[in-house]
Amino acid sequence: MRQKMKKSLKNAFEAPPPLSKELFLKTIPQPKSTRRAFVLSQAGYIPLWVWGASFVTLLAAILSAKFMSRDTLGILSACIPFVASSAVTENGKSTIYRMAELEKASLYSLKSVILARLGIVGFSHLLLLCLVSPLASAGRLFSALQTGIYLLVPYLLTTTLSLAFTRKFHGRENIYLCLGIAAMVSGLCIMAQSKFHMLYRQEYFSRWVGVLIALAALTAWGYYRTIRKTEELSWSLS
Amino acid sequence: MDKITDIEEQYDKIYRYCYFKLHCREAAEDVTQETFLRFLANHTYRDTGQVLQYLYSIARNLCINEYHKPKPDALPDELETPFSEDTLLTTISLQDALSKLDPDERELLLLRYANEVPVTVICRMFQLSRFAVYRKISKALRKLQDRLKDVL
Repeated sequence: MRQKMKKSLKNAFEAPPPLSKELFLKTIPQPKSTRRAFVLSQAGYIPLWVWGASFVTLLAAILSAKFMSRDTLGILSACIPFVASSAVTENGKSTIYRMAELEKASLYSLKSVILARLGIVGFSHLLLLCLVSPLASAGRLFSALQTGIYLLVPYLLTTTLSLAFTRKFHGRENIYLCLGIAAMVSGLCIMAQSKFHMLYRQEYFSRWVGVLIALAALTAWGYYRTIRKTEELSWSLS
Repeated sequence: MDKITDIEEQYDKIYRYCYFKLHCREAAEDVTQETFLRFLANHTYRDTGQVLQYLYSIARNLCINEYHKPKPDALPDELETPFSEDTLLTTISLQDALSKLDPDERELLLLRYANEVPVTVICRMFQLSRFAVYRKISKALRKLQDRLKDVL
Protein backbone atom coordinates (compact mmCIF):
# COMPACT_ATOMS: atom_id res chain seq x y z
CA MET A 1 0.00 0.00 0.00
CA ARG A 2 2.82 2.37 0.93
CA GLN A 3 4.51 1.84 -2.45
CA LYS A 4 1.24 2.62 -4.26
CA MET A 5 0.84 5.75 -2.16
CA LYS A 6 4.37 6.92 -2.94
CA LYS A 7 3.62 6.57 -6.66
CA SER A 8 0.27 8.35 -6.31
CA LEU A 9 1.95 11.27 -4.52
CA LYS A 10 3.48 12.38 -7.82
CA ASN A 11 -0.01 12.73 -9.30
CA ALA A 12 -1.34 14.40 -6.17
CA PHE A 13 1.31 17.09 -6.45
CA GLU A 14 0.61 17.69 -10.13
CA ALA A 15 0.58 21.43 -10.79
CA PRO A 16 -1.19 23.10 -13.73
CA PRO A 17 1.23 23.45 -16.66
CA PRO A 18 3.36 26.62 -16.58
CA LEU A 19 2.32 29.26 -19.10
CA SER A 20 5.53 30.99 -20.09
CA LYS A 21 8.16 28.30 -19.61
CA GLU A 22 9.24 28.08 -23.27
CA LEU A 23 9.52 31.84 -23.62
CA PHE A 24 11.53 32.11 -20.42
CA LEU A 25 13.91 29.32 -21.40
CA LYS A 26 14.55 31.05 -24.72
CA THR A 27 15.42 34.35 -23.10
CA ILE A 28 17.52 33.32 -20.12
CA PRO A 29 21.22 34.04 -20.37
CA GLN A 30 23.03 30.77 -20.94
CA PRO A 31 25.83 30.07 -18.47
CA LYS A 32 29.14 30.66 -20.22
CA SER A 33 31.96 28.20 -19.86
CA THR A 34 35.55 29.43 -19.77
CA ARG A 35 38.22 28.00 -22.04
CA ARG A 36 40.07 26.63 -19.01
CA ALA A 37 36.93 24.87 -17.76
CA PHE A 38 36.40 23.41 -21.24
CA VAL A 39 39.95 22.03 -21.45
CA LEU A 40 39.72 20.61 -17.92
CA SER A 41 36.35 19.03 -18.70
CA GLN A 42 37.96 17.20 -21.63
CA ALA A 43 40.54 15.63 -19.30
CA GLY A 44 37.71 13.60 -17.79
CA TYR A 45 36.95 12.00 -21.17
CA ILE A 46 40.47 10.72 -21.72
CA PRO A 47 40.30 6.98 -20.98
CA LEU A 48 42.26 5.47 -18.14
CA TRP A 49 44.49 3.41 -20.40
CA VAL A 50 46.03 6.58 -21.88
CA TRP A 51 47.11 7.66 -18.40
CA GLY A 52 47.92 4.02 -17.59
CA ALA A 53 50.38 3.77 -20.52
CA SER A 54 52.25 6.82 -19.20
CA PHE A 55 52.16 5.53 -15.64
CA VAL A 56 53.51 2.09 -16.63
CA THR A 57 56.34 3.74 -18.58
CA LEU A 58 57.23 5.93 -15.63
CA LEU A 59 57.14 2.91 -13.32
CA ALA A 60 59.32 0.94 -15.75
CA ALA A 61 61.77 3.87 -15.84
CA ILE A 62 61.99 4.06 -12.05
CA LEU A 63 62.35 0.31 -11.56
CA SER A 64 64.88 -0.21 -14.34
CA ALA A 65 66.88 2.84 -13.23
CA LYS A 66 67.09 1.26 -9.80
CA PHE A 67 67.83 -2.34 -10.75
CA MET A 68 69.15 -2.39 -14.36
CA SER A 69 70.43 1.12 -14.88
CA ARG A 70 72.31 0.31 -18.15
CA ASP A 71 69.20 -1.14 -19.81
CA THR A 72 66.85 1.69 -18.86
CA LEU A 73 67.13 3.40 -22.25
CA GLY A 74 66.34 0.15 -24.05
CA ILE A 75 63.32 -0.59 -21.86
CA LEU A 76 62.00 2.94 -22.19
CA SER A 77 62.56 3.01 -25.96
CA ALA A 78 60.41 -0.12 -26.12
CA CYS A 79 57.66 1.44 -23.98
CA ILE A 80 57.57 4.91 -25.56
CA PRO A 81 55.90 3.82 -28.86
CA PHE A 82 52.90 2.55 -26.88
CA VAL A 83 52.66 5.90 -25.09
CA ALA A 84 52.70 7.62 -28.49
CA SER A 85 50.03 5.30 -29.88
CA SER A 86 47.79 6.11 -26.88
CA ALA A 87 47.88 9.77 -27.97
CA VAL A 88 47.04 8.98 -31.59
CA THR A 89 44.15 6.64 -30.76
CA GLU A 90 42.79 9.30 -28.40
CA ASN A 91 42.96 11.78 -31.26
CA GLY A 92 40.98 9.47 -33.53
CA LYS A 93 38.52 8.22 -30.91
CA SER A 94 35.61 10.26 -32.25
CA THR A 95 36.06 8.81 -35.72
CA ILE A 96 36.74 5.29 -34.46
CA TYR A 97 33.45 5.21 -32.52
CA ARG A 98 31.61 7.17 -35.25
CA MET A 99 30.87 10.03 -32.89
CA ALA A 100 32.53 12.77 -34.93
CA GLU A 101 29.32 14.27 -36.28
CA LEU A 102 27.65 14.25 -32.89
CA GLU A 103 30.61 16.00 -31.32
CA LYS A 104 30.58 18.57 -34.12
CA ALA A 105 26.96 19.33 -33.36
CA SER A 106 27.75 20.06 -29.73
CA LEU A 107 28.61 23.37 -28.11
CA TYR A 108 32.29 23.02 -29.07
CA SER A 109 33.47 21.87 -32.47
CA LEU A 110 35.20 18.55 -32.95
CA LYS A 111 38.36 20.48 -33.80
CA SER A 112 38.32 22.22 -30.39
CA VAL A 113 37.65 18.92 -28.62
CA ILE A 114 40.53 17.19 -30.43
CA LEU A 115 42.90 20.10 -29.82
CA ALA A 116 41.99 20.23 -26.13
CA ARG A 117 42.52 16.50 -25.64
CA LEU A 118 45.75 16.53 -27.67
CA GLY A 119 46.97 19.44 -25.60
CA ILE A 120 46.31 17.57 -22.36
CA VAL A 121 47.81 14.27 -23.58
CA GLY A 122 50.74 16.04 -25.24
CA PHE A 123 51.52 18.03 -22.10
CA SER A 124 51.36 14.91 -19.93
CA HIS A 125 53.70 13.09 -22.34
CA LEU A 126 56.14 15.99 -22.32
CA LEU A 127 56.10 15.87 -18.53
CA LEU A 128 56.68 12.12 -18.67
CA LEU A 129 59.63 12.59 -21.03
CA CYS A 130 61.14 15.19 -18.71
CA LEU A 131 60.80 12.75 -15.81
CA VAL A 132 62.14 9.64 -17.52
CA SER A 133 65.02 11.17 -19.51
CA PRO A 134 67.30 11.68 -16.46
CA LEU A 135 66.41 8.16 -15.28
CA ALA A 136 67.26 6.64 -18.66
CA SER A 137 70.62 8.40 -18.78
CA ALA A 138 71.63 6.79 -15.49
CA GLY A 139 74.65 4.48 -15.90
CA ARG A 140 75.40 5.84 -19.39
CA LEU A 141 77.58 8.59 -20.75
CA PHE A 142 74.62 10.39 -22.35
CA SER A 143 73.19 13.61 -21.03
CA ALA A 144 69.49 13.80 -20.14
CA LEU A 145 68.91 15.93 -23.26
CA GLN A 146 70.59 13.35 -25.47
CA THR A 147 68.50 10.58 -23.88
CA GLY A 148 65.42 12.67 -24.41
CA ILE A 149 66.20 12.79 -28.14
CA TYR A 150 66.76 9.01 -28.22
CA LEU A 151 63.31 8.59 -26.68
CA LEU A 152 61.59 11.24 -28.78
CA VAL A 153 62.59 9.60 -32.06
CA PRO A 154 60.58 6.37 -31.51
CA TYR A 155 57.74 8.49 -30.06
CA LEU A 156 57.55 10.70 -33.14
CA LEU A 157 58.08 7.78 -35.53
CA THR A 158 55.09 5.95 -34.02
CA THR A 159 52.99 9.12 -34.10
CA THR A 160 53.85 9.91 -37.74
CA LEU A 161 53.13 6.40 -38.97
CA SER A 162 49.96 6.03 -36.88
CA LEU A 163 48.61 9.39 -38.08
CA ALA A 164 49.26 8.45 -41.70
CA PHE A 165 47.35 5.18 -41.26
CA THR A 166 44.47 6.63 -39.21
CA ARG A 167 43.83 9.11 -42.03
CA LYS A 168 43.54 6.28 -44.52
CA PHE A 169 41.56 3.76 -42.48
CA HIS A 170 38.40 4.17 -40.40
CA GLY A 171 36.69 2.39 -37.55
CA ARG A 172 37.94 0.13 -34.80
CA GLU A 173 40.76 -1.36 -36.89
CA ASN A 174 42.61 1.93 -36.37
CA ILE A 175 43.25 0.93 -32.74
CA TYR A 176 44.80 -2.38 -33.81
CA LEU A 177 46.79 -0.64 -36.52
CA CYS A 178 48.18 1.89 -34.03
CA LEU A 179 49.06 -0.86 -31.59
CA GLY A 180 50.70 -2.84 -34.42
CA ILE A 181 52.78 0.17 -35.42
CA ALA A 182 53.73 0.75 -31.78
CA ALA A 183 54.78 -2.92 -31.45
CA MET A 184 56.84 -2.65 -34.66
CA VAL A 185 58.66 0.52 -33.56
CA SER A 186 59.15 -1.00 -30.13
CA GLY A 187 60.71 -4.08 -31.73
CA LEU A 188 62.96 -1.86 -33.86
CA CYS A 189 64.13 -0.04 -30.73
CA ILE A 190 64.94 -3.30 -28.96
CA MET A 191 66.84 -4.47 -32.03
CA ALA A 192 68.73 -1.17 -32.28
CA GLN A 193 69.70 -1.47 -28.63
CA SER A 194 70.93 -5.03 -28.89
CA LYS A 195 72.22 -5.56 -32.46
CA PHE A 196 73.04 -2.06 -33.71
CA HIS A 197 74.41 -0.55 -30.55
CA MET A 198 76.83 1.64 -32.48
CA LEU A 199 73.85 3.82 -33.49
CA TYR A 200 73.96 5.28 -30.00
CA ARG A 201 77.59 6.37 -30.37
CA GLN A 202 78.40 10.05 -30.12
CA GLU A 203 79.38 10.30 -33.82
CA TYR A 204 75.84 9.39 -34.88
CA PHE A 205 74.15 11.87 -32.56
CA SER A 206 73.91 14.61 -35.20
CA ARG A 207 71.99 12.16 -37.41
CA TRP A 208 69.60 11.46 -34.57
CA VAL A 209 68.96 15.18 -34.29
CA GLY A 210 68.37 15.34 -38.05
CA VAL A 211 65.91 12.43 -37.89
CA LEU A 212 64.19 14.04 -34.92
CA ILE A 213 63.70 17.33 -36.78
CA ALA A 214 62.36 15.50 -39.84
CA LEU A 215 59.97 13.40 -37.73
CA ALA A 216 58.82 16.44 -35.75
CA ALA A 217 58.00 18.22 -39.02
CA LEU A 218 56.18 15.12 -40.33
CA THR A 219 54.20 14.78 -37.07
CA ALA A 220 53.19 18.44 -37.14
CA TRP A 221 52.12 18.05 -40.76
CA GLY A 222 50.25 14.84 -39.88
CA TYR A 223 48.32 16.53 -37.07
CA TYR A 224 47.62 19.50 -39.34
CA ARG A 225 46.20 17.18 -42.02
CA THR A 226 44.14 15.23 -39.45
CA ILE A 227 42.62 18.41 -38.00
CA ARG A 228 41.96 19.79 -41.49
CA LYS A 229 40.13 16.56 -42.23
CA THR A 230 37.70 17.22 -39.36
CA GLU A 231 36.88 20.60 -40.94
CA GLU A 232 36.07 18.89 -44.23
CA LEU A 233 33.33 16.90 -42.48
CA SER A 234 31.31 20.02 -41.64
CA TRP A 235 29.18 19.87 -44.81
CA SER A 236 27.41 16.74 -43.59
CA LEU A 237 25.58 18.63 -40.85
CA SER A 238 24.01 21.25 -43.07
CA MET B 1 23.91 22.93 -14.28
CA ASP B 2 25.36 23.80 -17.68
CA LYS B 3 22.79 22.43 -20.04
CA ILE B 4 19.43 23.74 -21.06
CA THR B 5 17.93 20.25 -20.63
CA ASP B 6 18.84 20.34 -16.94
CA ILE B 7 17.27 23.76 -16.56
CA GLU B 8 14.13 22.56 -18.33
CA GLU B 9 13.82 19.55 -16.06
CA GLN B 10 14.43 21.55 -12.92
CA TYR B 11 12.10 24.32 -14.09
CA ASP B 12 9.11 21.97 -13.85
CA LYS B 13 10.14 20.74 -10.43
CA ILE B 14 10.82 24.17 -8.98
CA TYR B 15 7.54 25.41 -10.47
CA ARG B 16 5.66 22.54 -8.85
CA TYR B 17 7.36 23.29 -5.54
CA CYS B 18 6.43 26.99 -5.76
CA TYR B 19 2.90 26.21 -6.89
CA PHE B 20 2.22 24.08 -3.84
CA LYS B 21 3.67 26.74 -1.59
CA LEU B 22 1.79 29.66 -3.14
CA HIS B 23 -1.31 27.98 -4.63
CA CYS B 24 -1.28 30.43 -7.52
CA ARG B 25 -0.12 29.61 -11.03
CA GLU B 26 1.09 33.10 -11.99
CA ALA B 27 2.88 33.74 -8.72
CA ALA B 28 4.49 30.30 -8.84
CA GLU B 29 5.73 30.93 -12.35
CA ASP B 30 7.09 34.38 -11.47
CA VAL B 31 8.94 32.96 -8.48
CA THR B 32 10.29 30.05 -10.54
CA GLN B 33 11.68 32.40 -13.16
CA GLU B 34 13.13 34.73 -10.54
CA THR B 35 14.76 31.69 -8.90
CA PHE B 36 16.52 30.73 -12.11
CA LEU B 37 17.57 34.29 -12.89
CA ARG B 38 19.13 34.65 -9.45
CA PHE B 39 20.73 31.23 -9.71
CA LEU B 40 22.27 31.96 -13.11
CA ALA B 41 23.41 35.43 -12.09
CA ASN B 42 25.43 34.06 -9.21
CA HIS B 43 28.54 32.10 -10.21
CA THR B 44 29.28 30.98 -6.68
CA TYR B 45 26.03 29.02 -6.61
CA ARG B 46 26.86 27.11 -9.76
CA ASP B 47 30.43 26.27 -8.95
CA THR B 48 29.93 24.69 -5.54
CA GLY B 49 28.35 21.48 -6.79
CA GLN B 50 25.30 21.98 -4.57
CA VAL B 51 23.04 23.10 -7.38
CA LEU B 52 19.77 21.56 -6.16
CA GLN B 53 20.19 22.80 -2.64
CA TYR B 54 20.75 26.37 -3.84
CA LEU B 55 17.87 26.25 -6.30
CA TYR B 56 15.43 25.10 -3.65
CA SER B 57 16.82 27.53 -1.08
CA ILE B 58 16.31 30.48 -3.45
CA ALA B 59 12.83 29.25 -4.38
CA ARG B 60 11.88 28.72 -0.75
CA ASN B 61 13.03 32.19 0.30
CA LEU B 62 11.29 33.83 -2.65
CA CYS B 63 8.09 31.92 -1.82
CA ILE B 64 8.28 33.22 1.76
CA ASN B 65 8.71 36.78 0.44
CA GLU B 66 5.81 36.28 -1.97
CA TYR B 67 3.67 34.85 0.79
CA HIS B 68 4.06 38.03 2.82
CA LYS B 69 3.05 40.27 -0.09
CA PRO B 70 -0.57 41.49 -0.08
CA LYS B 71 -2.36 39.85 -3.00
CA PRO B 72 -5.84 39.74 -4.51
CA ASP B 73 -7.91 36.61 -3.97
CA ALA B 74 -7.15 34.23 -6.77
CA LEU B 75 -9.51 31.62 -8.06
CA PRO B 76 -8.14 28.10 -7.61
CA ASP B 77 -6.52 26.78 -10.77
CA GLU B 78 -8.25 23.89 -12.40
CA LEU B 79 -6.08 20.87 -12.77
CA GLU B 80 -6.00 19.42 -16.26
CA THR B 81 -5.69 15.74 -15.48
CA PRO B 82 -5.00 13.09 -18.05
CA PHE B 83 -5.60 10.36 -15.43
CA SER B 84 -8.10 7.50 -15.45
CA GLU B 85 -11.19 7.61 -13.23
CA ASP B 86 -9.62 5.31 -10.65
CA THR B 87 -6.38 7.28 -10.54
CA LEU B 88 -8.33 10.52 -10.39
CA LEU B 89 -10.27 9.29 -7.38
CA THR B 90 -7.05 8.27 -5.60
CA THR B 91 -5.45 11.61 -6.48
CA ILE B 92 -8.38 13.62 -5.14
CA SER B 93 -8.45 11.58 -1.91
CA LEU B 94 -4.69 11.95 -1.58
CA GLN B 95 -4.85 15.70 -2.17
CA ASP B 96 -7.53 15.94 0.49
CA ALA B 97 -5.41 13.91 2.92
CA LEU B 98 -2.35 15.99 2.07
CA SER B 99 -4.20 19.22 2.81
CA LYS B 100 -4.70 17.99 6.36
CA LEU B 101 -0.99 17.44 6.94
CA ASP B 102 1.35 20.08 8.42
CA PRO B 103 2.86 22.35 5.73
CA ASP B 104 6.35 21.06 6.63
CA GLU B 105 5.29 17.45 6.17
CA ARG B 106 3.62 18.30 2.87
CA GLU B 107 6.76 20.06 1.71
CA LEU B 108 8.91 17.06 2.61
CA LEU B 109 6.66 14.64 0.71
CA LEU B 110 6.60 16.91 -2.32
CA LEU B 111 10.36 17.24 -2.37
CA ARG B 112 11.05 13.57 -1.81
CA TYR B 113 8.36 11.81 -3.88
CA ALA B 114 7.10 14.32 -6.44
CA ASN B 115 10.35 16.15 -7.21
CA GLU B 116 12.61 13.20 -6.32
CA VAL B 117 15.09 15.40 -4.47
CA PRO B 118 17.84 13.26 -2.89
CA VAL B 119 17.62 12.87 0.91
CA THR B 120 21.10 14.40 1.28
CA VAL B 121 19.88 17.63 -0.35
CA ILE B 122 16.74 17.71 1.84
CA CYS B 123 18.96 17.25 4.92
CA ARG B 124 21.07 20.24 3.91
CA MET B 125 18.02 22.36 3.03
CA PHE B 126 16.30 21.84 6.37
CA GLN B 127 19.52 21.42 8.35
CA LEU B 128 18.32 18.11 9.68
CA SER B 129 20.07 14.79 10.12
CA ARG B 130 19.38 11.95 7.71
CA PHE B 131 17.66 10.05 10.49
CA ALA B 132 15.39 13.01 11.29
CA VAL B 133 14.38 13.40 7.64
CA TYR B 134 13.55 9.69 7.33
CA ARG B 135 11.58 9.84 10.59
CA LYS B 136 9.57 12.89 9.49
CA ILE B 137 8.83 11.37 6.07
CA SER B 138 7.75 8.06 7.65
CA LYS B 139 5.51 9.91 10.08
CA ALA B 140 3.86 11.87 7.26
CA LEU B 141 3.37 8.72 5.20
CA ARG B 142 1.84 6.94 8.19
CA LYS B 143 -0.62 9.82 8.68
CA LEU B 144 -1.58 9.67 5.02
CA GLN B 145 -1.93 5.91 5.15
CA ASP B 146 -4.30 6.14 8.11
CA ARG B 147 -6.48 8.64 6.27
CA LEU B 148 -6.52 6.65 3.06
CA LYS B 149 -7.21 3.17 4.39
CA ASP B 150 -10.33 2.75 2.28
CA VAL B 151 -9.06 4.32 -0.91
CA LEU B 152 -5.67 2.62 -1.45
